[in-house]
Amino acid sequence: MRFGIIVFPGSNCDHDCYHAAKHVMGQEAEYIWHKDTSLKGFDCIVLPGGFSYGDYLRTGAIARFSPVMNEVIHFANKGGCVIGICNGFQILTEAGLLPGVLMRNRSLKFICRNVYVRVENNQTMFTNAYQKNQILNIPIAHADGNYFADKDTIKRLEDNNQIIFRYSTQGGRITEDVNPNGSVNNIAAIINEKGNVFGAMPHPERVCESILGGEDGRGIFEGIIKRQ
Amino acid sequence: MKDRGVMKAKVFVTLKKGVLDPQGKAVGEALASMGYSEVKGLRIGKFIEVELDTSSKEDAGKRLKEMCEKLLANTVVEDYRVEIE
Repeated sequence: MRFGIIVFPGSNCDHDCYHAAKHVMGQEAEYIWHKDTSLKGFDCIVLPGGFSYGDYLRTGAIARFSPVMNEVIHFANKGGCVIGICNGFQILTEAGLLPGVLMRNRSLKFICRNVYVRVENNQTMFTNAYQKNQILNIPIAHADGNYFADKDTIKRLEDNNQIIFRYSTQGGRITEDVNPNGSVNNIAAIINEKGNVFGAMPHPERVCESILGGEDGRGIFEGIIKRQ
Repeated sequence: MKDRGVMKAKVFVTLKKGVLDPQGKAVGEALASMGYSEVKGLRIGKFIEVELDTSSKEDAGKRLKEMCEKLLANTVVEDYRVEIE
């Protein structure tokens, strides 16, 4: 299958995503410049991490109006597979493809370390390679990962099983102590109602090979590839 | 001929009530620790100055509302207020 990795000015995990898709998973992968206006021939669109437009105004706020985003919205509305990681997740919320917003970390600090997340829902095209309640060790690297949405939205996400990962202990308990950024209900990743748009603050593309410290992120790519 | 001139607008973007503002909290606590013990709360927002090439205040107001809704504020967590000079 063919992955398209969008490059915004300030993206910096685009190469990691490309490497994971192409060299680790052996799939086709291409970069898509943010000014391009065609997503023809792509099976999965990746919005990578980074600091698009220097995080000016709000993270993802300006990138969301890049020319390519009209096509991404169109692609997603047609049921296309879209994954946003870190800054990509922030852009998806700004674009309205995912609910809520990622606010400044409660600690006000940029946090760059490995965390544990629990797989809450494995019945999605992004997580079907994992077991339900499986614990993954995945890095986070962000200053704005504090997921917030109003009570009704959170209830809807909970009721529809749209919460995909939660920050947890190594043993899988969801506690405030292991919530790195203040996210409501320890939310680390969500999916849209239709199940084709996925946003995650942790970086699966960074843990796809043991030589780079782990393979817990591979499942995301395996899931997408298996489902296509 | 009347010069269209530049209209100036001020946009205030603030966090909605109930939305946690860790930055405001840290700054408020800093003031309190500096001896300003009367500081009981502090919230930080954004102040944006916009210059517009238009002569109609009404149009400017409409367009600025759009700008706020689309880009300047994220209405999930922020409120905005516009003042046109």
